Amino acid sequence: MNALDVRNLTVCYGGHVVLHRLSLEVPAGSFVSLVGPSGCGKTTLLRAIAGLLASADGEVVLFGRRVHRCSREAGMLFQENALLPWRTARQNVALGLRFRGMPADRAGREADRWLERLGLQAFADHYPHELSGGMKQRVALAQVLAPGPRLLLMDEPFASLDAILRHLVQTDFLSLVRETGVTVLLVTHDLEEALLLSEQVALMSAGPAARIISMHRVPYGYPRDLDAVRALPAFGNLLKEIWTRLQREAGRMGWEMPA
Amino acid sequence: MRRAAALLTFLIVWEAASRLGWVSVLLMPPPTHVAGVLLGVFRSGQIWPHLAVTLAEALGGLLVGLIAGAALGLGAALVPAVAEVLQPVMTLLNAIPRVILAPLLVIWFGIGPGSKVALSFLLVAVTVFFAVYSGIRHVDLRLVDRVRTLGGGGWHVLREVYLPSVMAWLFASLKIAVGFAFTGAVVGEFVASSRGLGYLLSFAQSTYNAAMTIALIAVVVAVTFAIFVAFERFERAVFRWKRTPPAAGPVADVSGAET
Repeated sequence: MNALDVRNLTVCYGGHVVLHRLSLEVPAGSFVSLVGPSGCGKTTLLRAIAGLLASADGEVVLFGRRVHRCSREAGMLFQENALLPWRTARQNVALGLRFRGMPADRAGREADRWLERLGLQAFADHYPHELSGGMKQRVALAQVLAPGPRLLLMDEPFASLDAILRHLVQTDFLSLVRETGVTVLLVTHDLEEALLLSEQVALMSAGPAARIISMHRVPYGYPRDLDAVRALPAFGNLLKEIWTRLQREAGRMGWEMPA
Repeated sequence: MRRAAALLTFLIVWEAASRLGWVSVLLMPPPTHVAGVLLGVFRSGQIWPHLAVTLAEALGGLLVGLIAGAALGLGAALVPAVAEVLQPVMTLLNAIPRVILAPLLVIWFGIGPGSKVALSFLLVAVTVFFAVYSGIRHVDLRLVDRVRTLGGGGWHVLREVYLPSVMAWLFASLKIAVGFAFTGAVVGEFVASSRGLGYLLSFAQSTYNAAMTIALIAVVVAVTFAIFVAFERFERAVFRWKRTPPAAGPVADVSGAET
Protein backbone atom coordinates (compact mmCIF):
# COMPACT_ATOMS: atom_id res chain seq x y z
CA MET A 1 0.00 0.00 0.00
CA ASN A 2 1.09 3.55 -0.59
CA ALA A 3 1.51 5.85 2.36
CA LEU A 4 0.66 8.76 0.14
CA ASP A 5 -1.14 9.11 -3.16
CA VAL A 6 -1.41 12.57 -4.64
CA ARG A 7 -3.74 12.42 -7.63
CA ASN A 8 -4.11 15.20 -10.18
CA LEU A 9 -3.69 17.81 -7.50
CA THR A 10 -4.25 21.43 -8.55
CA VAL A 11 -3.55 24.19 -6.05
CA CYS A 12 -4.13 27.87 -6.71
CA TYR A 13 -2.63 30.57 -4.54
CA GLY A 14 -3.05 34.32 -4.88
CA GLY A 15 -4.54 34.04 -8.37
CA HIS A 16 -1.77 31.75 -9.66
CA VAL A 17 -1.97 28.07 -10.46
CA VAL A 18 0.95 26.84 -8.35
CA LEU A 19 0.48 23.11 -8.89
CA HIS A 20 -1.28 21.71 -11.92
CA ARG A 21 -2.61 18.14 -12.02
CA LEU A 22 0.33 16.92 -9.97
CA SER A 23 0.54 13.23 -9.10
CA LEU A 24 2.95 11.54 -6.72
CA GLU A 25 3.11 8.17 -5.01
CA VAL A 26 5.08 7.43 -1.86
CA PRO A 27 5.15 3.71 -0.90
CA ALA A 28 4.65 2.92 2.80
CA GLY A 29 7.95 2.70 4.69
CA SER A 30 9.94 4.47 1.97
CA PHE A 31 11.94 7.66 2.03
CA VAL A 32 11.26 9.99 -0.90
CA SER A 33 12.88 13.36 -1.52
CA LEU A 34 11.31 16.11 -3.53
CA VAL A 35 13.69 18.45 -5.35
CA GLY A 36 13.07 21.24 -7.81
CA PRO A 37 14.05 24.79 -8.70
CA SER A 38 13.34 27.26 -5.90
CA GLY A 39 9.92 28.80 -6.09
CA CYS A 40 8.47 25.83 -7.98
CA GLY A 41 5.90 25.04 -5.30
CA LYS A 42 7.55 22.28 -3.25
CA THR A 43 6.45 23.85 0.02
CA THR A 44 2.96 24.42 -1.37
CA LEU A 45 2.70 20.74 -2.22
CA LEU A 46 3.84 19.75 1.25
CA ARG A 47 1.37 22.13 2.89
CA ALA A 48 -1.45 20.78 0.73
CA ILE A 49 -0.56 17.22 1.75
CA ALA A 50 -0.44 18.27 5.41
CA GLY A 51 -3.93 19.71 5.09
CA LEU A 52 -2.88 23.31 5.64
CA LEU A 53 -3.89 24.41 2.12
CA ALA A 54 -7.07 23.67 0.27
CA SER A 55 -6.75 22.25 -3.23
CA ALA A 56 -8.74 23.46 -6.24
CA ASP A 57 -8.92 20.00 -7.74
CA GLY A 58 -7.60 16.47 -7.32
CA GLU A 59 -7.08 14.53 -4.11
CA VAL A 60 -4.61 13.64 -1.39
CA VAL A 61 -4.90 10.09 -0.05
CA LEU A 62 -3.06 9.01 3.10
CA PHE A 63 -2.92 5.26 3.71
CA GLY A 64 -5.98 4.72 1.54
CA ARG A 65 -8.05 7.48 3.13
CA ARG A 66 -8.77 10.75 1.38
CA VAL A 67 -7.87 13.75 3.55
CA HIS A 68 -9.25 17.27 3.54
CA ARG A 69 -7.75 18.77 6.66
CA CYS A 70 -4.82 18.04 8.99
CA SER A 71 -4.60 14.29 9.45
CA ARG A 72 -3.18 12.60 12.52
CA GLU A 73 -1.50 10.08 10.20
CA ALA A 74 0.89 12.80 9.06
CA GLY A 75 3.40 14.89 10.98
CA MET A 76 5.17 17.90 9.56
CA LEU A 77 8.60 19.28 10.33
CA PHE A 78 9.00 22.89 9.26
CA GLN A 79 11.94 24.85 7.97
CA GLU A 80 12.05 27.23 10.93
CA ASN A 81 12.21 26.09 14.52
CA ALA A 82 8.62 27.05 15.24
CA LEU A 83 8.51 25.55 18.73
CA LEU A 84 6.08 27.22 21.12
CA PRO A 85 8.32 29.76 22.91
CA TRP A 86 6.23 29.61 26.10
CA ARG A 87 6.57 25.84 26.45
CA THR A 88 9.61 23.93 27.71
CA ALA A 89 11.26 21.28 25.54
CA ARG A 90 9.33 18.56 27.40
CA GLN A 91 6.00 20.38 27.04
CA ASN A 92 6.68 21.00 23.37
CA VAL A 93 7.38 17.33 22.71
CA ALA A 94 4.32 16.31 24.72
CA LEU A 95 2.02 18.62 22.75
CA GLY A 96 0.88 16.18 20.06
CA LEU A 97 0.25 13.47 22.67
CA ARG A 98 -1.84 15.82 24.79
CA PHE A 99 -3.89 16.80 21.73
CA ARG A 100 -4.74 13.11 21.43
CA GLY A 101 -6.07 13.12 24.96
CA MET A 102 -3.11 11.62 26.84
CA PRO A 103 -2.96 12.86 30.47
CA ALA A 104 -0.24 15.46 31.08
CA ASP A 105 1.95 13.31 33.35
CA ARG A 106 2.01 10.35 30.97
CA ALA A 107 2.65 12.62 28.00
CA GLY A 108 5.50 14.21 29.96
CA ARG A 109 7.13 10.84 30.65
CA GLU A 110 6.74 9.87 27.00
CA ALA A 111 8.30 13.19 25.97
CA ASP A 112 11.23 12.52 28.32
CA ARG A 113 11.86 9.21 26.59
CA TRP A 114 12.03 10.98 23.21
CA LEU A 115 14.32 13.68 24.53
CA GLU A 116 16.61 11.02 25.99
CA ARG A 117 16.69 9.23 22.68
CA LEU A 118 17.92 12.43 21.05
CA GLY A 119 20.43 13.14 23.83
CA LEU A 120 18.51 16.12 25.18
CA GLN A 121 17.35 14.78 28.56
CA ALA A 122 19.33 17.50 30.38
CA PHE A 123 17.39 20.18 28.54
CA ALA A 124 13.84 18.95 29.16
CA ASP A 125 12.97 21.96 31.33
CA HIS A 126 14.58 24.54 29.07
CA TYR A 127 12.60 26.99 26.98
CA PRO A 128 13.30 27.20 23.22
CA HIS A 129 15.21 30.48 23.52
CA GLU A 130 17.63 28.69 25.84
CA LEU A 131 18.46 26.03 23.23
CA SER A 132 20.85 26.15 20.26
CA GLY A 133 19.58 25.87 16.69
CA GLY A 134 20.56 22.20 16.41
CA MET A 135 18.90 21.37 19.74
CA LYS A 136 15.70 23.13 18.72
CA GLN A 137 15.57 21.17 15.50
CA ARG A 138 16.00 17.91 17.42
CA VAL A 139 13.27 18.92 19.87
CA ALA A 140 11.06 19.69 16.87
CA LEU A 141 11.84 16.24 15.45
CA ALA A 142 10.90 14.59 18.75
CA GLN A 143 7.74 16.71 18.88
CA VAL A 144 6.66 15.51 15.45
CA LEU A 145 7.56 11.84 16.00
CA ALA A 146 6.18 11.49 19.55
CA PRO A 147 2.51 11.09 18.55
CA GLY A 148 3.57 8.31 16.16
CA PRO A 149 2.68 9.64 12.72
CA ARG A 150 2.93 7.14 9.87
CA LEU A 151 4.01 9.77 7.35
CA LEU A 152 6.60 12.44 8.09
CA LEU A 153 6.56 15.55 5.89
CA MET A 154 9.68 17.67 6.08
CA ASP A 155 10.27 21.09 4.61
CA GLU A 156 14.00 21.85 4.37
CA PRO A 157 14.49 20.85 8.02
CA PHE A 158 18.30 21.09 7.89
CA ALA A 159 18.64 24.27 5.83
CA SER A 160 19.27 26.55 8.80
CA LEU A 161 22.07 24.40 10.27
CA ASP A 162 25.76 24.84 9.49
CA ALA A 163 27.57 22.12 7.53
CA ILE A 164 29.02 20.12 10.45
CA LEU A 165 25.87 20.30 12.54
CA ARG A 166 23.79 19.35 9.52
CA HIS A 167 25.86 16.21 9.01
CA LEU A 168 25.35 15.19 12.65
CA VAL A 169 21.63 15.92 12.70
CA GLN A 170 21.14 14.14 9.35
CA THR A 171 22.89 11.03 10.67
CA ASP A 172 20.81 10.99 13.88
CA PHE A 173 17.68 11.69 11.93
CA LEU A 174 18.24 8.91 9.40
CA SER A 175 18.80 6.23 12.05
CA LEU A 176 15.75 7.43 14.01
CA VAL A 177 13.58 7.31 10.91
CA ARG A 178 14.72 3.80 9.98
CA GLU A 179 14.14 2.65 13.56
CA THR A 180 10.59 3.97 13.76
CA GLY A 181 9.70 2.81 10.25
CA VAL A 182 7.94 6.06 9.46
CA THR A 183 7.48 6.98 5.79
CA VAL A 184 9.25 10.19 4.85
CA LEU A 185 8.64 12.84 2.21
CA LEU A 186 11.49 15.35 2.36
CA VAL A 187 11.46 18.64 0.49
CA THR A 188 14.93 20.03 -0.10
CA HIS A 189 16.75 22.32 -2.49
CA ASP A 190 19.95 20.45 -1.66
CA LEU A 191 20.25 17.67 -4.22
CA GLU A 192 23.15 16.07 -2.39
CA GLU A 193 21.07 15.83 0.78
CA ALA A 194 18.28 14.18 -1.19
CA LEU A 195 20.65 11.56 -2.62
CA LEU A 196 22.32 10.91 0.73
CA LEU A 197 19.17 10.30 2.72
CA SER A 198 16.42 8.97 0.49
CA GLU A 199 15.54 5.94 -1.60
CA GLN A 200 13.80 7.85 -4.34
CA VAL A 201 14.13 11.38 -5.63
CA ALA A 202 11.15 13.08 -7.26
CA LEU A 203 12.06 15.98 -9.53
CA MET A 204 9.57 18.82 -9.80
CA SER A 205 9.23 21.09 -12.82
CA ALA A 206 9.65 24.84 -12.65
CA GLY A 207 6.53 26.74 -11.64
CA PRO A 208 3.93 28.02 -12.19
CA ALA A 209 1.67 25.02 -12.76
CA ALA A 210 4.37 22.68 -11.48
CA ARG A 211 4.22 18.89 -11.68
CA ILE A 212 6.53 15.93 -11.10
CA ILE A 213 8.67 15.33 -14.17
CA SER A 214 10.76 12.34 -13.14
CA MET A 215 11.41 9.82 -10.36
CA HIS A 216 14.92 8.56 -9.69
CA ARG A 217 15.72 5.43 -7.69
CA VAL A 218 18.81 5.70 -5.49
CA PRO A 219 20.94 2.57 -6.09
CA TYR A 220 22.04 1.87 -2.49
CA GLY A 221 20.16 0.71 0.59
CA TYR A 222 20.13 1.14 4.35
CA PRO A 223 21.85 1.32 6.75
CA ARG A 224 24.05 3.92 5.14
CA ASP A 225 27.24 5.62 6.09
CA LEU A 226 26.75 9.10 4.69
CA ASP A 227 30.45 9.62 4.01
CA ALA A 228 30.83 6.24 2.27
CA VAL A 229 27.76 6.93 0.12
CA ARG A 230 29.22 10.24 -1.00
CA ALA A 231 32.28 8.42 -2.37
CA LEU A 232 30.29 5.87 -4.43
CA PRO A 233 30.51 6.26 -8.24
CA ALA A 234 26.75 5.68 -8.46
CA PHE A 235 26.19 8.69 -6.19
CA GLY A 236 28.22 10.96 -8.44
CA ASN A 237 26.56 9.72 -11.62
CA LEU A 238 23.04 10.18 -10.31
CA LEU A 239 23.91 13.58 -8.89
CA LYS A 240 25.17 14.66 -12.30
CA GLU A 241 22.12 13.31 -14.11
CA ILE A 242 19.56 15.00 -11.88
CA TRP A 243 21.64 18.15 -11.67
CA THR A 244 21.57 18.54 -15.47
CA ARG A 245 17.78 18.20 -15.51
CA LEU A 246 17.43 20.57 -12.57
CA GLN A 247 19.51 23.21 -14.32
CA ARG A 248 17.39 22.87 -17.43
CA GLU A 249 14.26 23.44 -15.33
CA ALA A 250 15.75 26.41 -13.50
CA GLY A 251 16.78 27.91 -16.85
CA ARG A 252 13.25 27.47 -18.19
CA MET A 253 12.02 29.53 -15.31
CA GLY A 254 14.26 32.53 -16.13
CA TRP A 255 15.88 34.93 -13.74
CA GLU A 256 12.94 37.14 -13.04
CA MET A 257 11.07 34.54 -10.99
CA PRO A 258 10.95 35.34 -7.30
CA ALA A 259 12.86 32.96 -5.08
CA MET B 1 25.52 52.23 41.45
CA ARG B 2 26.30 54.77 38.72
CA ARG B 3 22.68 55.82 38.53
CA ALA B 4 22.47 56.28 42.29
CA ALA B 5 25.71 58.31 42.20
CA ALA B 6 24.38 60.48 39.37
CA LEU B 7 21.15 61.12 41.26
CA LEU B 8 23.06 61.99 44.41
CA THR B 9 25.34 64.38 42.51
CA PHE B 10 22.31 66.03 40.94
CA LEU B 11 20.69 66.56 44.35
CA ILE B 12 23.91 67.94 45.85
CA VAL B 13 24.38 70.41 42.97
CA TRP B 14 20.74 71.47 43.29
CA GLU B 15 21.08 71.90 47.03
CA ALA B 16 24.24 73.95 46.59
CA ALA B 17 22.78 76.07 43.78
CA SER B 18 19.78 76.87 45.90
CA ARG B 19 21.68 77.56 49.11
CA LEU B 20 24.38 79.67 47.42
CA GLY B 21 21.71 81.81 45.79
CA TRP B 22 22.46 80.77 42.15
CA VAL B 23 18.77 80.10 41.71
CA SER B 24 15.83 81.61 43.54
CA VAL B 25 14.86 79.67 46.65
CA LEU B 26 11.24 80.44 45.85
CA LEU B 27 11.45 78.79 42.42
CA MET B 28 13.89 75.99 43.24
CA PRO B 29 13.76 75.27 46.97
CA PRO B 30 16.65 73.01 48.08
CA PRO B 31 15.93 69.24 48.19
CA THR B 32 16.32 69.18 51.96
CA HIS B 33 13.56 71.75 52.24
CA VAL B 34 11.33 69.73 49.87
CA ALA B 35 12.05 66.62 51.91
CA GLY B 36 11.01 68.49 55.04
CA VAL B 37 7.70 69.50 53.45
CA LEU B 38 7.17 65.92 52.27
CA LEU B 39 7.86 64.56 55.74
CA GLY B 40 5.51 67.19 57.20
CA VAL B 41 2.48 66.26 55.07
CA PHE B 42 2.98 62.57 55.83
CA ARG B 43 3.55 63.15 59.54
CA SER B 44 0.50 65.38 59.92
CA GLY B 45 -1.43 62.73 58.00
CA GLN B 46 -3.16 65.30 55.81
CA ILE B 47 -1.94 63.69 52.59
CA TRP B 48 -3.34 60.21 53.23
CA PRO B 49 -7.00 60.80 52.27
CA HIS B 50 -5.87 62.57 49.09
CA LEU B 51 -3.42 59.81 48.21
CA ALA B 52 -6.13 57.21 48.81
CA VAL B 53 -8.60 59.03 46.54
CA THR B 54 -6.12 59.37 43.68
CA LEU B 55 -4.95 55.76 44.06
CA ALA B 56 -8.55 54.49 44.05
CA GLU B 57 -9.40 56.56 40.96
CA ALA B 58 -6.30 55.42 39.08
CA LEU B 59 -6.73 51.75 39.97
CA GLY B 60 -10.45 51.91 39.20
CA GLY B 61 -9.76 53.40 35.77
CA LEU B 62 -6.97 50.86 35.21
CA LEU B 63 -9.17 47.88 36.09
CA VAL B 64 -12.23 48.95 34.09
CA GLY B 65 -10.07 50.19 31.20
CA LEU B 66 -8.18 46.91 31.15
CA ILE B 67 -11.34 44.82 31.01
CA ALA B 68 -13.07 47.04 28.44
CA GLY B 69 -9.95 47.50 26.30
CA ALA B 70 -9.21 43.77 26.30
CA ALA B 71 -12.82 42.85 25.49
CA LEU B 72 -13.03 45.38 22.65
CA GLY B 73 -9.62 44.36 21.30
CA LEU B 74 -10.67 40.73 21.35
CA GLY B 75 -13.97 41.55 19.66
CA ALA B 76 -12.27 43.63 16.97
CA ALA B 77 -9.67 40.94 16.26
CA LEU B 78 -12.26 38.16 16.02
CA VAL B 79 -15.19 39.95 14.34
CA PRO B 80 -14.25 42.03 11.25
CA ALA B 81 -17.43 44.12 11.52
CA VAL B 82 -16.48 45.22 15.04
CA ALA B 83 -13.00 46.17 13.84
CA GLU B 84 -14.48 48.21 11.01
CA VAL B 85 -16.45 50.34 13.46
CA LEU B 86 -13.96 50.45 16.35
CA GLN B 87 -10.65 50.91 14.62
CA PRO B 88 -11.21 54.46 13.29
CA VAL B 89 -12.64 55.57 16.63
CA MET B 90 -9.75 54.06 18.56
CA THR B 91 -7.16 55.42 16.12
CA LEU B 92 -8.65 58.89 16.51
CA LEU B 93 -8.74 58.58 20.30
CA ASN B 94 -5.16 57.36 20.21
CA ALA B 95 -4.00 60.23 18.02
CA ILE B 96 -5.52 63.12 19.99
CA PRO B 97 -4.27 64.19 23.43
CA ARG B 98 -7.03 62.41 25.31
CA VAL B 99 -6.71 64.66 28.38
CA ILE B 100 -8.54 67.42 26.45
CA LEU B 101 -11.68 65.40 27.21
CA ALA B 102 -11.24 66.06 30.94
CA PRO B 103 -13.44 69.22 31.08
CA LEU B 104 -16.22 67.44 29.22
CA LEU B 105 -16.01 64.46 31.56
CA VAL B 106 -16.30 66.81 34.55
CA ILE B 107 -19.48 68.27 33.06
CA TRP B 108 -20.84 64.77 32.49
CA PHE B 109 -19.77 63.00 35.66
CA GLY B 110 -19.39 65.86 38.14
CA ILE B 111 -16.37 66.97 40.12
CA GLY B 112 -16.31 63.77 42.21
CA PRO B 113 -14.16 60.68 41.50
CA GLY B 114 -16.42 59.62 38.59
CA SER B 115 -14.90 62.02 36.07
CA LYS B 116 -11.36 61.01 37.09
CA VAL B 117 -12.07 57.31 36.76
CA ALA B 118 -13.61 58.05 33.36
CA LEU B 119 -10.51 59.88 32.14
CA SER B 120 -8.22 57.16 33.50
CA PHE B 121 -10.44 54.60 31.84
CA LEU B 122 -10.24 56.34 28.46
CA LEU B 123 -6.46 56.58 28.58
CA VAL B 124 -6.03 52.96 29.62
CA ALA B 125 -8.73 51.37 27.44
CA VAL B 126 -7.33 52.75 24.18
CA THR B 127 -3.81 51.55 25.01
CA VAL B 128 -4.99 48.08 26.02
CA PHE B 129 -7.30 47.86 23.01
CA PHE B 130 -4.40 48.28 20.60
CA ALA B 131 -2.20 45.86 22.53
CA VAL B 132 -4.77 43.08 22.41
CA TYR B 133 -5.98 43.85 18.89
CA SER B 134 -2.52 43.88 17.34
CA GLY B 135 -1.40 41.07 19.65
CA ILE B 136 -4.00 38.77 18.13
CA ARG B 137 -3.40 39.98 14.60
CA HIS B 138 0.35 39.48 14.90
CA VAL B 139 0.18 35.96 16.21
CA ASP B 140 2.86 33.82 14.60
CA LEU B 141 0.93 31.81 12.02
CA ARG B 142 3.73 29.24 11.83
CA LEU B 143 2.85 28.29 15.41
CA VAL B 144 -0.79 27.89 14.40
CA ASP B 145 0.32 25.58 11.56
CA ARG B 146 2.47 23.61 13.94
CA VAL B 147 -0.36 23.06 16.44
CA ARG B 148 -2.72 22.08 13.61
CA THR B 149 -0.30 19.56 12.07
CA LEU B 150 0.29 18.08 15.52
CA GLY B 151 -3.41 17.30 15.60
CA GLY B 152 -4.64 20.27 17.62
CA GLY B 153 -8.14 21.66 17.11
CA GLY B 154 -9.50 25.19 17.36
CA TRP B 155 -9.50 25.16 21.16
CA HIS B 156 -5.87 24.00 21.23
CA VAL B 157 -4.85 26.77 18.83
CA LEU B 158 -6.56 29.29 21.08
CA ARG B 159 -5.02 27.97 24.30
CA GLU B 160 -1.53 27.12 23.04
CA VAL B 161 -0.92 30.01 20.63
CA TYR B 162 -3.36 32.91 20.87
CA LEU B 163 -3.72 33.17 24.64
CA PRO B 164 0.01 33.15 25.51
CA SER B 165 0.92 35.62 22.75
CA VAL B 166 -1.85 38.01 23.73
CA MET B 167 -0.93 37.75 27.41
CA ALA B 168 2.61 38.80 26.56
CA TRP B 169 1.37 41.84 24.63
CA LEU B 170 -1.12 42.69 27.34
CA PHE B 171 1.47 42.71 30.08
CA ALA B 172 3.83 44.85 28.06
CA SER B 173 1.02 47.40 27.57
CA LEU B 174 -0.07 47.17 31.19
CA LYS B 175 3.14 48.78 32.38
CA ILE B 176 2.44 51.77 30.13
CA ALA B 177 -1.20 51.73 31.18
CA VAL B 178 -0.25 52.21 34.86
CA GLY B 179 1.32 55.56 33.99
CA PHE B 180 -1.75 56.49 31.95
CA ALA B 181 -4.10 55.57 34.80
CA PHE B 182 -2.34 58.05 37.09
CA THR B 183 -2.19 60.68 34.37
CA GLY B 184 -5.96 60.40 34.05
CA ALA B 185 -6.62 60.61 37.77
CA VAL B 186 -4.25 63.50 38.51
CA VAL B 187 -5.12 65.56 35.42
CA GLY B 188 -8.81 65.01 36.12
CA GLU B 189 -8.34 66.30 39.65
CA PHE B 190 -6.34 69.17 38.27
CA VAL B 191 -9.26 70.31 36.15
CA ALA B 192 -11.89 70.27 38.88
CA SER B 193 -11.99 68.48 42.23
CA SER B 194 -12.08 68.87 45.97
CA ARG B 195 -9.80 65.97 46.88
CA GLY B 196 -6.81 64.02 45.55
CA LEU B 197 -3.15 64.63 44.76
CA GLY B 198 -4.11 66.62 41.65
CA TYR B 199 -6.24 68.87 43.83
CA LEU B 200 -3.36 69.41 46.25
CA LEU B 201 -1.04 70.09 43.31
CA SER B 202 -3.36 72.67 41.85
CA PHE B 203 -3.72 74.24 45.29
CA ALA B 204 0.06 74.34 45.81
CA GLN B 205 0.49 75.87 42.37
CA SER B 206 -2.11 78.57 42.95
CA THR B 207 -0.31 79.64 46.14
CA TYR B 208 3.10 79.57 44.37
CA ASN B 209 4.32 76.94 46.83
CA ALA B 210 7.16 75.38 44.80
CA ALA B 211 8.38 73.15 47.64
CA MET B 212 4.93 71.61 48.09
CA THR B 213 4.50 71.21 44.33
CA ILE B 214 7.79 69.36 43.98
CA ALA B 215 6.99 67.22 47.02
CA LEU B 216 3.62 66.20 45.54
CA ILE B 217 5.18 65.45 42.15
CA ALA B 218 7.65 63.19 43.98
CA VAL B 219 4.75 61.34 45.64
CA VAL B 220 2.99 60.72 42.30
CA VAL B 221 6.24 59.56 40.69
CA ALA B 222 7.02 57.24 43.63
CA VAL B 223 3.56 55.62 43.63
CA THR B 224 3.50 55.14 39.84
CA PHE B 225 7.01 53.74 39.84
CA ALA B 226 6.21 51.33 42.68
CA ILE B 227 3.24 49.92 40.78
CA PHE B 228 5.28 49.75 37.58
CA VAL B 229 8.01 47.76 39.32
CA ALA B 230 5.45 45.46 40.92
CA PHE B 231 3.98 44.70 37.49
CA GLU B 232 7.42 44.08 36.07
CA ARG B 233 8.26 41.65 38.87
CA PHE B 234 5.01 39.85 38.28
CA GLU B 235 5.59 39.77 34.54
CA ARG B 236 9.05 38.29 34.98
CA ALA B 237 7.66 35.60 37.25
CA VAL B 238 4.84 34.70 34.87
CA PHE B 239 6.81 34.92 31.63
CA ARG B 240 9.81 32.86 32.52
CA TRP B 241 10.02 31.75 28.90
CA LYS B 242 11.09 35.26 27.94
CA ARG B 243 13.94 35.48 30.40
CA THR B 244 17.55 34.41 30.07
CA PRO B 245 18.23 31.76 32.73
CA PRO B 246 21.29 31.88 34.97
CA ALA B 247 22.49 28.57 33.46
CA ALA B 248 22.84 30.09 29.98
CA GLY B 249 25.16 32.85 31.13
CA PRO B 250 24.99 36.09 33.08
CA VAL B 251 21.44 37.34 33.52
CA ALA B 252 20.74 40.68 31.90
CA ASP B 253 20.40 43.02 34.83
CA VAL B 254 17.22 44.98 34.18
CA SER B 255 17.46 47.05 37.33
CA GLY B 256 20.93 48.22 36.32
CA ALA B 257 22.01 48.41 39.95
CA GLU B 258 25.29 46.58 39.40
CA THR B 259 28.31 46.98 37.07
